[in-house]
Amino acid sequence: MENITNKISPDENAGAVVNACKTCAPLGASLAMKGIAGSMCILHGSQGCATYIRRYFISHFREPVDIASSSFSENTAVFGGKENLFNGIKNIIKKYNPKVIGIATTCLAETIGEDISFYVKELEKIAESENITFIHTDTAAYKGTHITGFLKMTAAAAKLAEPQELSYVSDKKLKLNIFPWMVSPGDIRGLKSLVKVLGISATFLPDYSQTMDGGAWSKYEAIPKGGTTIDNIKKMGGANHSLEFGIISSEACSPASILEENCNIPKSVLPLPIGLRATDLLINHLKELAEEYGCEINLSEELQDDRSRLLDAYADAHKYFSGTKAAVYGEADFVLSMASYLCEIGIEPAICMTGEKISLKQIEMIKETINHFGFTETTVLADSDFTNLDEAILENMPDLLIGNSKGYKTARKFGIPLVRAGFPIQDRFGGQRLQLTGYKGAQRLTDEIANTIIAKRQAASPVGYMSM
Amino acid sequence: MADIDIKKSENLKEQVMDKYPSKVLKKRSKQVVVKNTDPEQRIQANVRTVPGIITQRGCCYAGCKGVVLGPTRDIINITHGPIGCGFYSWLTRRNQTKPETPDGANYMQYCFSTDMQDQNIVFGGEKLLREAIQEAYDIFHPSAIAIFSTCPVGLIGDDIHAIAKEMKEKFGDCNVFGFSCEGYKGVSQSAGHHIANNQIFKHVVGTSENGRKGKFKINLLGEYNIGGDAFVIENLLERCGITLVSTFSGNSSIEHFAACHTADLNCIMCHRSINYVAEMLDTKYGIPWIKINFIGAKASAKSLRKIAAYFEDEELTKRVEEVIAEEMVGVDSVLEEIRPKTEGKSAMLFVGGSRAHHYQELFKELGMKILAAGYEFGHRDDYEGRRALSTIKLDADTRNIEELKVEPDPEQYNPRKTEEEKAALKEKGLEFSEYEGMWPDMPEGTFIIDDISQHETEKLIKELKPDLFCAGIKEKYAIQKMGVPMKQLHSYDYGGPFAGFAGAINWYREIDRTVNSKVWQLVGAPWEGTGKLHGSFIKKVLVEEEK
Ligand code: SF4
Ligand code: SF4
Repeated sequence: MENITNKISPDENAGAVVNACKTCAPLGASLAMKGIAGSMCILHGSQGCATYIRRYFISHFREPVDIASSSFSENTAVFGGKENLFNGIKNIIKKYNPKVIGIATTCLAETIGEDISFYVKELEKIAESENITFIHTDTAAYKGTHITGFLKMTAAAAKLAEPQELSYVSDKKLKLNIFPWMVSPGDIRGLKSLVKVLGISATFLPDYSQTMDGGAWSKYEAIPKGGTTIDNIKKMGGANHSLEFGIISSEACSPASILEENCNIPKSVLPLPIGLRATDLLINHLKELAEEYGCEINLSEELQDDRSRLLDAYADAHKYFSGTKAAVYGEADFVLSMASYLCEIGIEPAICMTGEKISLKQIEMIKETINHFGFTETTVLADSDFTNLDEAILENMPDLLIGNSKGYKTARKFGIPLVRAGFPIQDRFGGQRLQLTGYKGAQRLTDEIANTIIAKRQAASPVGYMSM
Repeated sequence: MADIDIKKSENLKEQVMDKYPSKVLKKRSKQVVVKNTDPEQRIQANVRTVPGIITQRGCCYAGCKGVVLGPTRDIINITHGPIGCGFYSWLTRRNQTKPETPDGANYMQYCFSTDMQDQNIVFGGEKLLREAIQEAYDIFHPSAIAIFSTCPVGLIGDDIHAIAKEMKEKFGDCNVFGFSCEGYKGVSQSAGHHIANNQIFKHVVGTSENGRKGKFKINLLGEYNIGGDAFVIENLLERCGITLVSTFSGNSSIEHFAACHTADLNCIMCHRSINYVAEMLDTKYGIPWIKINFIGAKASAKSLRKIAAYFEDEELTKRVEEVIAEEMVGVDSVLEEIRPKTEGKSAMLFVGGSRAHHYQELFKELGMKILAAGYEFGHRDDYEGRRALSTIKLDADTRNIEELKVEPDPEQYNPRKTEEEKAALKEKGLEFSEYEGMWPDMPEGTFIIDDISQHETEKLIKELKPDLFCAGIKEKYAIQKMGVPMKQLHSYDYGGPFAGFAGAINWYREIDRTVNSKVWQLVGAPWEGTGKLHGSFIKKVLVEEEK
């Protein structure tokens, strides 16, 4: 398989991608829309994309997911999709009665040069008569990945924010906008309760913690409840500060910068808070922000307890971790934070792989983060696929794989246990609830990694010890 | 469950249609039919989905790559397009395959994509495609490489067929062919099935004489080996002494396709996806086709008997009867245990292009009633039977799909049965080239619905309260949230196999587990006055508290 190593440098684009580690932008855009209250999303293009993406979501989130399509035919592809789009919108309104409609283009629409902004006038008319907010963005998959689509749609929604007076004076609460990146519903819930404990009032954009992880229905819900309301998005223009996760992806697209430009709200960008240090960084930053804006913050005992419990868990398990090597794959920001977490528990992130194209500088940053802990042999692969991962594994065999379900084939081939994290998780239950962020997320992750290592040793032991 | 009759159902239909804008209403009211006594009753099918109405349908590319060629293990499939299309169709259909030797080629776990970028859209992607083909060839040296066009490719005008031809000549030992299956073609994945089958027929069928040898040689058409169904069927046929030359396309290999013209009978499972291939094989090589169905114990027995009847061989007939008798022992004993628990329950089935019909057999065996059924990408003939064929109008979408012109092969045409022999067999009850569709099996007052929408699903569930709903994963969670048990008929919820006698037994148990699951009783909380508290440990706690 030696001839497929040629894609490690980020700007080379030759030949086939074999078993990709990324997917397309409309998927991310649709997920972002699911985090806006009362919304429906329509993908402008052929119906296949919408069907595929729904199917993908459904098998990860195990929730019903409706995404409409403007269902291009061969003629539409030749003569343009306007009529289909407006028909689609009309039918969505009749059937779902949504408050918000998100429109994202697919490759087909983009290839024929469809531009939703051509239709702004018509959309405005409908918006007025039907009392609907439209949010749209272009999401050709041949530019960027699912993360690009996610951030672009989020940024498009952030454009709705209106500059307004600060509204906090009465309660001394820090008012934040939080752009949580493409984390799980479980993560969003965790982050929400974290800021609540701290006494911070925050608007999350998007927030699909309920819509994509809901309960049983007492009556049919055409649009699941939950999500950030348009009202609250508008009010984001009155926050003290915006916080955005994902230091790599934000260089390409930063929803928080929309608020900076339009509403003059300063922003900070932090890495995904996976692990103790990244969570410390977050909380410390929140504390500084509170001080800066003259607000109160409650660094409660509860939080300290969570932190020290996590530390305790690290200590308990460290013997199983040291000397262990892991391969991590997924989105660049996920890989960065996961690698940093692994370092802090003493596991060497020997291979880091992402399907995203990132700059050499960003590759260096991932390396440095890891080197900082004294692990100097790490291979970082960008713009890569699972065959590249397999090759790297042959060179430097890890004990563990950490990433989404798509790595199962690799895990199976080399007999390496796979700790599932990220998106998609389609071969296990609970992907939608999986929390990686905050002290609690790290706690759960630490237990799982330790147990995975123990289980492997236990199974390999000739004695079969029942206590470790 | 509510009782249904024609009048009640017509009323319900009216209520369901009420919500639609007039244009949609006009269309949907022809696709939602209450079965009545009229023998000429029709349904509208295979028409475009209305934009904005959520459909369960996929695209032409999905049908071409995923369904027909997905289960073929030794062809490398390259998706020419942006990353998403290929990624979503990567090993998600649960087809199984078993190479004949441990080191036999199997590329099913691989997803090759050209991952087109901006510059390829602007300047064309032909160079990229050539490199991808070369790379796949260099790594694996496969005997065949297939290229699939996604939507953008059709528009930027890359000539995949010319490239395929060029690369095929260059390699010399690798068949390379392309499929122009852009997603916008046709109205559903069904168009993709057609394009896939046409190309296989054109480029592969008839190119090898090294087929499996035997006295009673058949092909199985339209069986995709979901959950291992094909393995069960293969085992049955083998025990009967019937040689399976090729399957389109469950557990298949390109070698088998190439030699399929050496078989003497074609047996069609899924009429939708493949009937035209059977027709072409008949015209070109003189191989007759019959409709069979291996879903359901009785249906499996009937199908085996049909095959035996065709070959008119006493020894074969005897062996078939022995195998059926052996198998029925197990079937009967499990049914005896389970049927009392499923008898009288009701089901709805909305899936695929044949499964919504085939699976009715299994429900009959369990004593369950069908309230409503329909396909996702069926055509009128799959509903009404082939009698509908003469009255199907070709629309623009259908005309875009190439119809191959096939003539008797000057050398290889060899009618396996003369017209007289066929007529004589027909006398005895063996129908050739015939499929009656689901119509005759649907009782009066039941709903037959093409490409059901979510709104219709929700209403039917609410009003008719079925005990079970069968569909695909996209419908699964909404249905379960409404408190109705759900069984996936595309991927079998990771269960199966459900074909043949062994599969029927699996199915009985699975349906028992599903419809009799206790989960559904927990839906209401006791403080809402809807849930019930029971169980001895709870009583004990209550009693102690009272003291
Ligand atoms: S772009 Fe076209 S081929 Fe790809 S998934 Fe969408 S409809 Fe299908
Ligand atoms: S055409 Fe583009 S948007 Fe549609 S599935 Fe393919 S990559 Fe995604």
